[in-house]
Amino acid sequence: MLRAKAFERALRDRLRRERRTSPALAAEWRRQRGHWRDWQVPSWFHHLFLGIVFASFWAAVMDASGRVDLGLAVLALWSLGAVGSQGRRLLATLYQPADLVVLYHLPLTDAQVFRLQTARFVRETGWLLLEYVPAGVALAMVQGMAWPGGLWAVALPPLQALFATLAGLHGAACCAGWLRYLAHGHYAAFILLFTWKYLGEVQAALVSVAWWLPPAGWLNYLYERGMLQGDPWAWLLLLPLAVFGWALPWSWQRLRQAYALHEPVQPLAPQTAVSMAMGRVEGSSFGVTAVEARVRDRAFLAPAEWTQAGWLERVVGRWLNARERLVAEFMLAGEARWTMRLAWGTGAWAVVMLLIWLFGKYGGWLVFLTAYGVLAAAVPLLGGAWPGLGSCFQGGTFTPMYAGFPLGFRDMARVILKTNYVRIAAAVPLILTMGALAGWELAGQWLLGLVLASKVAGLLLALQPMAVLLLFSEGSNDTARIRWRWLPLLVVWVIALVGASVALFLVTQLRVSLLCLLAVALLSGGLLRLYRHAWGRGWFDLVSRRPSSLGSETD
Amino acid sequence: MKIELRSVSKAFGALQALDRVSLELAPGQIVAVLGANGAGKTTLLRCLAGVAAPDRGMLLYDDETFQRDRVDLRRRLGFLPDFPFLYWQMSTLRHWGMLLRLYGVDRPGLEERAVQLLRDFDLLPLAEKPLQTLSRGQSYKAALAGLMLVEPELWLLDEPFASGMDPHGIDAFKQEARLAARRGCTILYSTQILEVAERFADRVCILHRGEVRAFETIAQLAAKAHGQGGALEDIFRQLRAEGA
Repeated sequence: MLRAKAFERALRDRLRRERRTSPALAAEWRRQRGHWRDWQVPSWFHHLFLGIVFASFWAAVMDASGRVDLGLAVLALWSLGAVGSQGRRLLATLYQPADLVVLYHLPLTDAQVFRLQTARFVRETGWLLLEYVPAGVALAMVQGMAWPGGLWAVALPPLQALFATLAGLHGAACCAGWLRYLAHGHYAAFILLFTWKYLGEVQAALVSVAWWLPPAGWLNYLYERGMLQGDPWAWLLLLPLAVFGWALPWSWQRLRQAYALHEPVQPLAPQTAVSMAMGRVEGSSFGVTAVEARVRDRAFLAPAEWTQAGWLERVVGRWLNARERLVAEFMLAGEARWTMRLAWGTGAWAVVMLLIWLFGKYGGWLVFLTAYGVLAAAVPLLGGAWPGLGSCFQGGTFTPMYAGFPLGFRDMARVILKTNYVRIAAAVPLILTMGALAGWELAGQWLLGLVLASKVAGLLLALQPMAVLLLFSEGSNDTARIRWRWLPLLVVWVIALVGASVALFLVTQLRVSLLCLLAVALLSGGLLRLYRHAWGRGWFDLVSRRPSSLGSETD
Repeated sequence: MKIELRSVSKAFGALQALDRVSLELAPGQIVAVLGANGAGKTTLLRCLAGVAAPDRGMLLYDDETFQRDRVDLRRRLGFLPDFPFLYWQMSTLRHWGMLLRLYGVDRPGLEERAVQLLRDFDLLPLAEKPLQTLSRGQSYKAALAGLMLVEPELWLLDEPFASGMDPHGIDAFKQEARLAARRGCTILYSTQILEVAERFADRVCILHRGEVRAFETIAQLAAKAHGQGGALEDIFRQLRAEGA
């Protein structure tokens, strides 16, 4: 660790003494001292808070349902998400942090920087334990603290955190591009946590599937079947768990060999970090004469060919006007892959249909999982990912990419909204079919499923302005600069928005449902309009302390 | 483009980054913004570019109030921070193409000018390489030359002389900036290097704790100089003595 704590302490004491003797220095120190509003919540507090909230809900669910296996399924899904987030955090620590700029200029070899950054990753992994320890305590309390289950229960969640980190490391070394999909495990855990009562057969199916989610599900199985129920076969799972540990040096080596620090001009975008880890960054080999020729034939000024892209891109391209197409090109920073993603979702959907046809009675959980997977992959649930909204590191703060170019909020928001409407509309047949099938499989009522799916699709469309607002918000200091007199109105507005969204699923009459949807659309659109006004008038700055994550990759 | 700041203030929490800054810049000038670290130089440039917004006061471009949603006015300026806005997976040429189209620039002879800039900044062999494979200085040159290709009326450059550019690149930048100023463009750059400011600026703006302490021509400053190190060094020594 590049720190000299004793020296820092001594220096701090010395400075304190200097301030006492010099009023001018004390005045300048007060001027430079941050405001309480600039104070950032420390990382450990963040994890501990999340851990306590999660553990509270989790224990309540186990208590209310009287089923520990349901709780363990939630935990397995949560840990699956942790595999994704840990793997991505490792890549981010190696390739993205702002301090790489400093490390590069110190007399350190790439191997030394690798060691420093991985040590930092390991240190920060300790915070993840804080997320899991409350869950361990909660599990032990549910189990009544009796030997052996109660005592092992305290250790089970932290062990899962450890194995999730190991799995994340393997993922970063072998399949970095897939890690972001695993992070959806967190959302799946939350969905199961809050909707278990209404899932019927799906709940039981999910619980049985969750046993096989590596490595958290295996640990759960060992604990529940091996330790509590005394099933000797369960201990066989120790073998694959040992493989996780045994393969650790191999993955470590693989990451280390791929690690080469180019002069870091600024932290890399997540997708670039993944490419670097996979050794996929290549240069181009045009000669000087060829470059001159390419410049002279004005090839570099040619717009993107929307007509030669996938059908979804063509539809979007047709709907956007010339200026919006240009803005879209900038915001995407490359090829859009919407058709490919929809095709991927459709393929998954087709496979599941086949499986349900073959193994009908197990179809419930397959429908649930695939519905989520297809939605996450094919539909821009949170507004989509736009590199143009990604962050650019500038002297300790981050500024969104678009801020450096003459782009208006209206243009950018319209591009995102139009694109998202087309993408969601294209996925509507999948959503509806899935809903009808889920209704048939779970309750024998395909119409009920179809209606629910229609409401989900409608809500997704109506909430898009809100999703766009959140994308922009991430790259600004709007929350720090909030105008307090607007706060009550905003709170009421958001409560009304959430209320209308919930009411949509409670009402049964078509007319009232449509009214709810209209209300959601109006409230969501109104918020975006208000935000546009604030953006344009400069009520806040296009500066944030943390890099934007939502807009940094294309999907 | 005529630029006017009327009593512009900007605070970050308790820190007053700009304090009632009032300036008027006529077109065709090269202005160096000087000041100690944390004096408000970057904040001033960010406000002028629309990245940050003043808490109080007004910004006027050609007597029109500037706000972030005035895309028409933003098209007339180019902002280059110390770490430029670049898509690192793109090549220099692709970045330039995108930039020109966003600014709506497509004049005859553009391609010849692009080749000349590539040559002047030694970027010709690197023009098709991803920017992430270039060094810091090279990528800064790619962004700077892109700005020159666009030819906005106002150049806002944050620390161009501490950007990692080699002497040849710095020389090319100075030549281009002088030519642009002769054409009527205004070049506003921040720097810490006093010698550079004295030799490469028509006017110098000195910020101290967010306030404008001097905004004068180099000739006016030279007339005031009585120390050995030149006018700017005198002023900075005086400012430091004030703070002590």
